[in-house]
Amino acid sequence: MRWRVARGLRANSGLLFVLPGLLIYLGFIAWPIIATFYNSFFIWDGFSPDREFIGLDHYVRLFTKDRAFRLSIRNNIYWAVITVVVLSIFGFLFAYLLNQRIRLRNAYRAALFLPVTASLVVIGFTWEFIYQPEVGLLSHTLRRYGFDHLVRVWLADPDVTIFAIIVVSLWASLGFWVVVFLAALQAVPPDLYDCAAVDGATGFRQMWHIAVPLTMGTTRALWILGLIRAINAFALVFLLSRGGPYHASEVIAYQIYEQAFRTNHTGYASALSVVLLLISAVVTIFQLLLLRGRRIQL
Amino acid sequence: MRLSLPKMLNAPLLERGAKKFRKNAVLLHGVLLSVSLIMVFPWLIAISTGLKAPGESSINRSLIPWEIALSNFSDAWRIANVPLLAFNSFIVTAASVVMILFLASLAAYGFARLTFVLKESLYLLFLAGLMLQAAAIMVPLYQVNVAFGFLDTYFALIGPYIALGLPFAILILRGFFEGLPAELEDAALIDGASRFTIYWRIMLPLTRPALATVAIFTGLGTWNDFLLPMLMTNRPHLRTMPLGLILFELEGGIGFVQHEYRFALIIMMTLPVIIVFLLLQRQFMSGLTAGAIKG
Repeated sequence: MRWRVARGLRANSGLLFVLPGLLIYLGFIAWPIIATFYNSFFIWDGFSPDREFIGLDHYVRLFTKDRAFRLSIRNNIYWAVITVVVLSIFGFLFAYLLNQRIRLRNAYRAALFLPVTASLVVIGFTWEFIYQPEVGLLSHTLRRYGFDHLVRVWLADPDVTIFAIIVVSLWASLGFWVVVFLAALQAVPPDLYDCAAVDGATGFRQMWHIAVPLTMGTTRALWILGLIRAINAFALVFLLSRGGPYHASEVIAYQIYEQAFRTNHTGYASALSVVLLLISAVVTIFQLLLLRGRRIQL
Repeated sequence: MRLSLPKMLNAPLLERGAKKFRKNAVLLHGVLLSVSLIMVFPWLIAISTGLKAPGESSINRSLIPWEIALSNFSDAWRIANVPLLAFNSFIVTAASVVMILFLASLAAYGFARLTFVLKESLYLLFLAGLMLQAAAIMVPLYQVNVAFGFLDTYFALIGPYIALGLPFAILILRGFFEGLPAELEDAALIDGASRFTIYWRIMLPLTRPALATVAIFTGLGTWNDFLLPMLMTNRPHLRTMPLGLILFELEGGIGFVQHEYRFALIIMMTLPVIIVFLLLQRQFMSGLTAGAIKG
């Protein structure tokens, strides 16, 4: 008997290697997420011992009565669609251009890439300065060149603010997409382009029929990544507009922050978190299907 | 682009080709240059504003300062207490990265080389964390820090950073371990070395490139994050760099926002990272490219 236990322990000694990381992961992530599901069924301020069970009422309210939530969903969709489409197209194009043997290649690449290394706080404050009403650089430049009718109060106009923020997000992540696409393009054998050239395919057709299909795996990974970042967008909204004016530029993650840490509606914020996690989970399942059986290349 | 031989011999065609090539090159550089300008311009604004005298930026909108006010830097340094901010950022980032590297490589070795119950299910559990970002789970992270009594300590930051960093690190490192030949371990096993010794003495030194990738990716994210410090710490002596920048305007009795001071601080915060980036450009690119699979 003792012998069998010993053999069992021995056969599973690998568990000891996984255990320390697993405990931290379970303690800080798995368990709290389960607790969030549970908390979402209560009215709770986050600290007092008494809480009121209300079942699914938070979710009903979210999807039927909450205007800010509807706007958040809309803005997250804008964010996802605009960033993924624009960054796929322009990220790929610039990477394709940079993949040619041209002068100043590294300088261009570094210029595109610098925002990726900066903190979003730095990026947020810099763009807030550019977007200042009246005296800000953007408004000032537009006025100076006679485009007065285009000037807006960039960060306080309900129709404009979310797009102004998305533009910053595009600026901040373009370099990352370019560099990832560039890595994928460099793995395409150059002979293929030569063959195509011999067959008479030039410029655009070479790109469309060779480069695009051969980098599709990377493109799909970037789409997933872009979606996840769009779903979780928080920092730029917090830094540039605080979700205003009148919730017009709110996103789900910012709503969670408002509800949990500004107004102490922890139960309601938990329900929002659950919605966000469920959306992420759907994307995650896609990601896992994509990753299955593929070794990660460095 | 390589030219094939018959084309090389056809002189008029070659000439036309060269002209076309030159036109293309001008177009190419035109596009790349204008995009690079858009990408660089905000940085130029930041630098020029940081160099202007306090209050000047609202009158002088040109990129060139009337006078170079280097005192902005010493003032911002003092008001924001940059040494403290840098120290805190360093402690939190270094502790998180070291712990992630250790725990993730340990677990990745187990997943790659050993067998045990529920192995693949546990691996899947870690992989599911790839999609988690702090913003989505800020409420549970806060609650768990309350439960552990970690609020207003370094642990309130380091714990979540480790937990959020593990999935990506384990994914990368498991792939790397599985790529190493198994024969490396056989001799040591015959000599009676324990599995931990093999991991620590033989395998870990070989994974240095993958460790560097993980360290850069997780280190940069941790260094730049402001959400967790903002939520989990209240006391000024725990402030990290990004949080210090956010709270800057409230401190030192400046009263209203002095853009010049703020941008001086921004320059001081960003410059070291950019220098490290330029020095380690290749590793940075590979680290962040590998990060494409992490959300």
